[in-house]
Amino acid sequence: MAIDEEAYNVLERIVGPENISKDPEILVSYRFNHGFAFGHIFYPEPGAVILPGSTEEVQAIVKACNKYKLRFKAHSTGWGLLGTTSEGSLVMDLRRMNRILKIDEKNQFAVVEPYVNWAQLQREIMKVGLNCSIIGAGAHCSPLASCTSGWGHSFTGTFTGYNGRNLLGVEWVLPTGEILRLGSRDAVGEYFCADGPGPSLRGIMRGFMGAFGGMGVFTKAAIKLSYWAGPPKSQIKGKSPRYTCDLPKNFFATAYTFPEWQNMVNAMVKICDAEIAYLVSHGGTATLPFTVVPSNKEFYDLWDAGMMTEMAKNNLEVMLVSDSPEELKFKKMVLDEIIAEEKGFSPEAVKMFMDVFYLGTVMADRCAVKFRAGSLGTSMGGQGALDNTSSQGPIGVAIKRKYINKGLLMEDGHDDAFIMTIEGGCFGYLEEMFNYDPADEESTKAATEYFIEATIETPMKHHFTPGCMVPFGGKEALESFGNAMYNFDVWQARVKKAFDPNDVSDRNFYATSEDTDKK
Amino acid sequence: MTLEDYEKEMLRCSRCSHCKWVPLSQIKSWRFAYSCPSISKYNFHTYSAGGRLIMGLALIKNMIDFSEKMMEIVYECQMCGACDVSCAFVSDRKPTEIIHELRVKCVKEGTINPKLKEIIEDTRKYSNPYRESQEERGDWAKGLNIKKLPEEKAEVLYYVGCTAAYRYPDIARNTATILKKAGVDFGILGKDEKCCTSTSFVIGDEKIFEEFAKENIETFNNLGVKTIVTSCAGCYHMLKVYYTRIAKPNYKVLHQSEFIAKLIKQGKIKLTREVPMRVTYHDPCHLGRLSEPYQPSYGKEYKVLNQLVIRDVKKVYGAKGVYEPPRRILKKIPGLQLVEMERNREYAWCCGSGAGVKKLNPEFAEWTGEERIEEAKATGAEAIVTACPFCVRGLEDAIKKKGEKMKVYELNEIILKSMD
Repeated sequence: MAIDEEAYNVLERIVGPENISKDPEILVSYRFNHGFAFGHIFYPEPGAVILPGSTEEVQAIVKACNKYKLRFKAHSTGWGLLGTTSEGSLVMDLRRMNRILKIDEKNQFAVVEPYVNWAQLQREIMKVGLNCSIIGAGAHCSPLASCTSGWGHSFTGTFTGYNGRNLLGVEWVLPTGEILRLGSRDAVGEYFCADGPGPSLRGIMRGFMGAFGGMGVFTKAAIKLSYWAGPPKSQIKGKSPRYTCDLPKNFFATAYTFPEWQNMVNAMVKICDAEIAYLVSHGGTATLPFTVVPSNKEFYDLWDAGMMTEMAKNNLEVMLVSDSPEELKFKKMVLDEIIAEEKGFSPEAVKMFMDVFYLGTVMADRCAVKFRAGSLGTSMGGQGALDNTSSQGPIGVAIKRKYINKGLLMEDGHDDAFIMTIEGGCFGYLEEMFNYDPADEESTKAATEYFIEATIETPMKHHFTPGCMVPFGGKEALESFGNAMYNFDVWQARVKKAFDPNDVSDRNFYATSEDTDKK
Repeated sequence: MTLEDYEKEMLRCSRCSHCKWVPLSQIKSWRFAYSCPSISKYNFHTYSAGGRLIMGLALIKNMIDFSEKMMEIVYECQMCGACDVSCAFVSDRKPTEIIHELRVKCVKEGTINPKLKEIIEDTRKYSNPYRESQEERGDWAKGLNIKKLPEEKAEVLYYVGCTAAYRYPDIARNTATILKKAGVDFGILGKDEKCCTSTSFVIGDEKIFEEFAKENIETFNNLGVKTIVTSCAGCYHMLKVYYTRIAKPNYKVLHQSEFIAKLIKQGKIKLTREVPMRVTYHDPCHLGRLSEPYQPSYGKEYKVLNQLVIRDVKKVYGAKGVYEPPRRILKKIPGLQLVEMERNREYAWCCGSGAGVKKLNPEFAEWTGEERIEEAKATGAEAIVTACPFCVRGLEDAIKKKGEKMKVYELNEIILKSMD
């Protein structure tokens, strides 16, 4: 469905003809995103794609969308839900807004635009002794997006925090086109406080899961950074694709395996309680081998040899960072005691993984490697108390096994969950991953079915909180959870209606209950 | 293989956008993090490797048709291979191989831009893309007393290439001078040398490539030479990588930087004169990440572990290109200080000139070159050295457009400054 000509001309005047397009050849590339939960590869055709270069342009675009009742969705790097389209809508690709505006070493925050990626931010802030909380999806993603609009969990989250809370301030173009600046910037000229002045709008702005573009456009974000005791520049060795990196001298890292899942969880909780770790997380049986090898063929060879299964079963990765040898020694002593209590050990095959451990976790340079299998899917996204979150893993594994046994999903061994510990273990985050072949209809169908069963039906059955993957399930999924949980979807829809009276901001993955008066 | 044969691979693209960046752990700063000139300039996702794969998929699924816009998107790309390096890190995919098939389809459909058609037609008619006289191809060698093959015999053939022969004769003369000073038994084909068809091939005309390659290989094989030395990175890439698809050579192909580095090692060339300069080295794409021996990336696929797709082909990563010989030479030059740009070797940013872009869209070519000049300036270097006449041209044009004072040297010019 084409955009109204008058509206298109107005938009073109805002950004210039080179920054807007309604050519089908351009539009089609924005329609493609692996939407395994729906069996989609191509989403509906938008009416146009626009590339704003400033907040002022974004504001003018949003105002025009209100005037012409044109639905819009903004995205940064555009991976996954953050980059999907709807019929006749306006895709706002924010890649021209790509600057790091400020790095405040003293107050430990940075101000970024939407298209800065984590790797860029990290390289600049490490130079001044700071680090950021790169999300599990990888360093190619946008810090602004994970802080404001989607998930925000990191392998190093136990130390570097959760990005939903690392957000210290935003510049927010509301769905009406008004600009709202949150955080204490307006009061004192800096972004060192997360909310205010006045009551917190964080719940409305992003809430638990993020609005995925359903609540306007975020044009700047101030992000809390954390202390970095590592070197200003990582010493990467090797050539593509076999990069390695030695651990800095004040670091210790290894992976352990445990006899039972519960031993692994116990160790994780104890390590968090002891407050010794820079990183403590669980990685899946297929995930770890994928990060070590550069091709599917080599993955299979390793798998076939059985080495990786031994290493990855009920595994726990730990990284300790310290400022002095004495501190490191103390932390290591505590760690050894915990591991011994839970009968853990570090298998021989771990050595292979350690060469890339720093790269894969601190720098998150190889997360997308998991796609090498064909395509990666992820499910559940449970977030909550660490023991509760961890208990979801075996449930997801059991459901997935049915599809694996039918040959429709990739055999991934014991489990393929990752569990991240956040803010010293205050809470945890779990995703159960799976691999399927998008070029195989049956496999794709199974991926969708598994996803719905694990992500939508299972939490309802077991009384888990809705996982962060629920929005993948669309409106129906949100409504099911809403019915069980105080009609949160209705409340969200009411909020959205108040902020977006013309209903122009995307409604694909945010509460969109038509009947806001129900119940 | 045809574009249709790659349907599954296009479907498997996860749209992760790694193809837009240097491999993530290799990013050293905010400023020089991007790897693909095309998406960096035009910004719409379609201009990335992933975007082009989606467009190719949409084409074979009849969701879009050939159009002028499509031709723009397909050909506003230098085929520099930076996307291959980044994509290979996270997948078993080689985007440029699929994009090449998209180009082949465009050529077959006859929908390509007239300027690109001209390159192909001129190459066929004149045996070079510059519409120059074949009779004058060897004029650069006048007065140098160089053996003319096949009339005479020599151990080494210096394959000059169209750009050096017609546009940068100094590069050809410098190379010949160095070889002579080192006592190398070499000759040239002169008016009998024909284009390697690098540009036509990359545009997607496999027919002219096959015709010329067959004829060239036959000529080379009949010469009885042991080694062919090229000045141009593009020629090197064709002769070494793609000609092996056509026939087995009985000669070895070396770029002049490799050959000269060997001569230095053997003591046949001595670099004694001081060249007090701080320089940075620009890796030509065709000499670097694109120069690994040809490997088909997509053989027969089969599934293991239910849904894991594996292939019995050797993946290439772009890391085994000719990176060290030019650097070794520069490091041997007294007084010369070599400083690296952030994006070097397989991560190098393209000069902007390749794959017909220079002719089709000079403004884009210059924009790409300007970006490289910015990176070179950031090193504090006063000059850029490179090892390809086409890169020299691209970088010089960019400097001129920017009004910069930085100089561009072809490697052999620097070598001659330092030789006795």
